[in-house]
Amino acid sequence: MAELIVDTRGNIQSGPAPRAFGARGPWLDRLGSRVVISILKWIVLAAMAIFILGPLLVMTLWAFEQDWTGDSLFPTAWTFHWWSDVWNLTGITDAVTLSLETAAVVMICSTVLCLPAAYAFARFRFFGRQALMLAFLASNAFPKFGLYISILTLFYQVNFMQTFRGIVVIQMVETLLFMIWIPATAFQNIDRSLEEAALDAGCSKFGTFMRITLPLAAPAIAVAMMLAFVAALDESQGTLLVGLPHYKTMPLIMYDAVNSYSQAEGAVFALMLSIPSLLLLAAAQFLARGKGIRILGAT
Amino acid sequence: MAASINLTREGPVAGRRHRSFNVREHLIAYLMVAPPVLFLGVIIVYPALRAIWDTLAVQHVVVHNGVQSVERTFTFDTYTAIWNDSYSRNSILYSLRVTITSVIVLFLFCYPLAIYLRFRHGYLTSIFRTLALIPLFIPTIITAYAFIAFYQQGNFLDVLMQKTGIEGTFFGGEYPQLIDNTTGIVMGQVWKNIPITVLLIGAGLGEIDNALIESARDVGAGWLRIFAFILFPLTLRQALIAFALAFVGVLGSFNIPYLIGPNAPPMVGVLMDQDVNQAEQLTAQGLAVITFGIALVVGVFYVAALARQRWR
Repeated sequence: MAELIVDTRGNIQSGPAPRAFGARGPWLDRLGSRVVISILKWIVLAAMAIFILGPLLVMTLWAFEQDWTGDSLFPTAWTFHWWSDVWNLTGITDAVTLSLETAAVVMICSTVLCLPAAYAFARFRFFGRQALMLAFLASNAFPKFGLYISILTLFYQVNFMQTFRGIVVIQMVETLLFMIWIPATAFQNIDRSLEEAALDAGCSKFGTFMRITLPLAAPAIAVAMMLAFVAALDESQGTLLVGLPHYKTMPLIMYDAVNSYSQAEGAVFALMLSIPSLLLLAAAQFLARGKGIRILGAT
Repeated sequence: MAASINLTREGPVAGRRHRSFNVREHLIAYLMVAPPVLFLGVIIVYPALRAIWDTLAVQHVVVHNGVQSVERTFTFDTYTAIWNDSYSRNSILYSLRVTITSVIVLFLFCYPLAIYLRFRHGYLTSIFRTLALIPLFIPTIITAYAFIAFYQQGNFLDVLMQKTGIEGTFFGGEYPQLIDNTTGIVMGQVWKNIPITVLLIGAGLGEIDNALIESARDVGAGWLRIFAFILFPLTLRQALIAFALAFVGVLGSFNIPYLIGPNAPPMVGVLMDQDVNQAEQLTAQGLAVITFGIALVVGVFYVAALARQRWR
């Protein structure tokens, strides 16, 4: 690629700029800088990879270490016994049950609450539609912990503190946005001519919805429901304020794990908590693939 | 305000149809939209407004002729008390500092990464595309635990730096503590916010035509110039959304500052939790309102950037 250079006398020359290093030719110089850039690029990429993955990998090693003294980089002996140990800790099974229960209830409530709205946003043009959609997106721009703190006053008033319903409501806060957004996009993308064909063939409006619209939107709805389940399963901050000391979900056990469990037990528990999320999200990704579902609506 | 925003993109089909104000359709639509709107109003908007009201019009019990009654008086006492207390003032200022630092580092990390993912193709890029998404799937509390496993004194990085002699050569034989301080919060927040930021900037970059970059290169523009005059301006909208989400996310965080942040000053999320535990509900509410106020400044950019988006 030619470069255009204006020299001091105002003449325009083409070709690479003359280099300051007299002894080295431009060819060698360019090769040198290319090698340096390439090495730099690899260092930066490796650092990025280690930054993202390193902590997770080391935590995974913790969960299987039998013997790991301070002066060796990796465990010298391996074991699975931490996994059975964790199951025998007090309160773990209760926490797992409670977590699965709340996540399921949150998922169902959020679906029931939001699905009709998603359909309405996608299919009806009503006054205030854009403003309401914007309002839902704007609710995303609340500082979460401040929001939870302000919700507490309401919860004290209506007796939602340290109750199952309180946990469910506080966990639903995070699910609202994508539970509307993802199905709404799906309803919008359905080819209307299919529905019209069903109507022409004598199918009722409700029948068309049940037989055409809903099945076509099903993958997106499933993705949204899985995301809601995972969001509820992983929610710790609101649950901490509302649930403790009575209700301890899995993420709340993690707070104890940081302080009072052995490193390995904490790591096992952390892995146990992230496995369902990773599995469900992989499934969600799989369902979303090729269907044009944007998991992150606001792009 | 809503009227001035053009959010609609009328397709060819929509153009044909004459839209009249259909009462029945409106009624059905409102009924369907009502449940989440009510939820939004009752669980998010009302408590936020209530917090503002409660902290400005403070309730107190008045005994009048032997009869107890609750009165409200307008006062800024809640806020002046927060500001005059050096602990909470430092906490607010510290939170702002940490938030701004985190967002700056986040963008320094994510812009090059997003550009790399957009303009290079191949095996390595697809690996990094997956890598950049991983933090999205990890709950913050586990992020914090993983950071402890990796960065805490005596743990992996410490041993690695001892073994390779980096500690001896550069740090006088002592491990530079990376967590339980500001660095820990910043690293944790950057880690957590990589996916959404890379996705948003990547979406913006994806809309840029390759020909635009090539023509700029043909007339001799370097990468820095291309970034400053093409890539950055054209991804500004997405970058603003990412900026606002990250900013508000860090400001409203609890887990990361609580678990891998310093003991003092605490970030405002941790401080609110402390106040709630000490039954200082009103102070916590006041702090919450302060974070809302700060977020509002950034939220304006967010809403403006979203409103410019064209959606159906």
